[in-house]
Amino acid sequence: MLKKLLVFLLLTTALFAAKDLSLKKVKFFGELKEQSSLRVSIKDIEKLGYHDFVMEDPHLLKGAKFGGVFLKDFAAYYGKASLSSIVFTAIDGYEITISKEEWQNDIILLATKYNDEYTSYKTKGPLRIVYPKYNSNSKKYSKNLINWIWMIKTIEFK
Amino acid sequence: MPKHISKIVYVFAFVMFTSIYFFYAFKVYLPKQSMNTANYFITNESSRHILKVSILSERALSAYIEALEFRNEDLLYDSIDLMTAAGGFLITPSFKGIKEAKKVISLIDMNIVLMEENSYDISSRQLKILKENVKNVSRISQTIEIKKYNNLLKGVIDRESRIYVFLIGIVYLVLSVILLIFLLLFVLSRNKRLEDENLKQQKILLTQSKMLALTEMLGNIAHQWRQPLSVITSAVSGMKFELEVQEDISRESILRCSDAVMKQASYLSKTIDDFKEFIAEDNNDKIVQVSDVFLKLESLVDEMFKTNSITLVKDVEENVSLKLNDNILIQAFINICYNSKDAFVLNEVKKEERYFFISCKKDKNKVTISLKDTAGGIKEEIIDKIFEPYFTTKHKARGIGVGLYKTNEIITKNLLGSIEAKNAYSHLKNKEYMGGEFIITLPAFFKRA
Repeated sequence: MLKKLLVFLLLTTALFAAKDLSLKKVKFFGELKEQSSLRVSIKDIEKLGYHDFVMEDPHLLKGAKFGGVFLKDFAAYYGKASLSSIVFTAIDGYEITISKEEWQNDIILLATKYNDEYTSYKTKGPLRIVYPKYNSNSKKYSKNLINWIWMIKTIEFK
Repeated sequence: MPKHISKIVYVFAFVMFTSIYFFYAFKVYLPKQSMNTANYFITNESSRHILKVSILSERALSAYIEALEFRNEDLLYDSIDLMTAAGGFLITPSFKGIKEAKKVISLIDMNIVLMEENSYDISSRQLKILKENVKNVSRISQTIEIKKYNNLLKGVIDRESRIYVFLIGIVYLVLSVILLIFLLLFVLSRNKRLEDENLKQQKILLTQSKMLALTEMLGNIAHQWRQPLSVITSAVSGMKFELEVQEDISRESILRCSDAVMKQASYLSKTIDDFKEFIAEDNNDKIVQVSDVFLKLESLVDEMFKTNSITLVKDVEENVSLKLNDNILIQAFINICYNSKDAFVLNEVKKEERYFFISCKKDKNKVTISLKDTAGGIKEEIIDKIFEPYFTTKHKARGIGVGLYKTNEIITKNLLGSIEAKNAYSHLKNKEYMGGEFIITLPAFFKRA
């Protein structure tokens, strides 16, 4: 009983003390323009140019609105000219690599918002990769589903 | 014997097929499907997710304890992120409706709050709760894992069972149809064989009946020929004698003798024609006058009746036509005539009281023929059996019991009529006689207008 009361009080307090998720920082490292490592907030990333797309969420199988910056702009802003790929690592250790060729030939979104709201690790945030041209009937995009990484914790520029 | 072998082979094949099918289904197919399900479960996204919930919450706890020990801010935030992410893996449609998942989420939320609110200043009691929560998250995650696996397996088994029921239904249906076809073929072939055997039997009976009639008739014909042959012999020997005695013969004598020989020869020829016509196997129906049929019958049984002192009394309507094969009808009548003759002899009926009545009447669309004798009648206890094959009251030397059976067959099956046997009284010359009567009814023939 005492334990349940404690949980209730803690959760209520946490609700009132909700954090600003846009301030959540993600660690960048590798071939960066100015330094080898830096922590950048979601709000700062959005400054590169915000775009949103209404489409089908292939994992939840329902319509959703994804907002964020194009990977092409992100790479150009933070990475060196010699940048060839970016490695995204999720909090659980899952890792994917996107090549320069890919972000130049296709629209890839580094999503910061889901249905107009910032996301935490609990809601697959704070950053995730989205392919806005996704079509369930397209073989190319069906194969690409493994690249839809979420819960991104670190970004390595190579 | 081959029939039994084929039945055994069918049953054996059916049992073998069913056994192999079920053996394969339960020993090979179902275990394979279960293994596939297990493999699918291991690689299944939701299974991986539940595993991650457990791993991440444990990693979060380790990172938090390390952060407390070294007062490391990065580790502190990492531990909170890891704990938050652990909850994130449960927010997928595959965990919707699983109450244990809600419980895990609430435990993780509680841990996040504990870690965020207390940072480095967590009490030993709160740390204990944190550790317990992580343990519970792992335990409940395992329960969810088992539950999900069982649900998945149940779903697979249900699906496979439905497929099995459908397949088994199809297999049994096909087998039943094949078996039914075999049974049908077997029954048809057996019926055909029985029919053939029956036909063969009928032919044998017909031949026996005919042979019997022929044997008796040949005897009568031989007797019938004696008189004309005797006349011929007498005429010729008289002429020879006249020639020997007188050395000359008159023209009148030659003509008288020739006339007598020709007349008798013509009679003999007619007898042969009647006989030939009777034994000829003519199966065609033709339009015949009943009176002509009785004339033919008379010529065939005349000698037998005379020999046995039976007087024939006819009362036949003129211009009554039938469309049938008259030869087989005559054969049917002959059988009755010979039966009556035997009855007269057997019952030792006085010669002056032996009568055989033939009458024929046309009534609307049918013709009723009555053949009746005065031989004392048929015993009541056998009257229902007289048309059965091989039923006879006579001595073996005199009959084999196919005559009346054949008569019945001819009338009912070949000529599509009916026959009835009964005892009846006849009145003649102020005297009453008891005897057997056969009433035959046949469809009449009408000329088209």
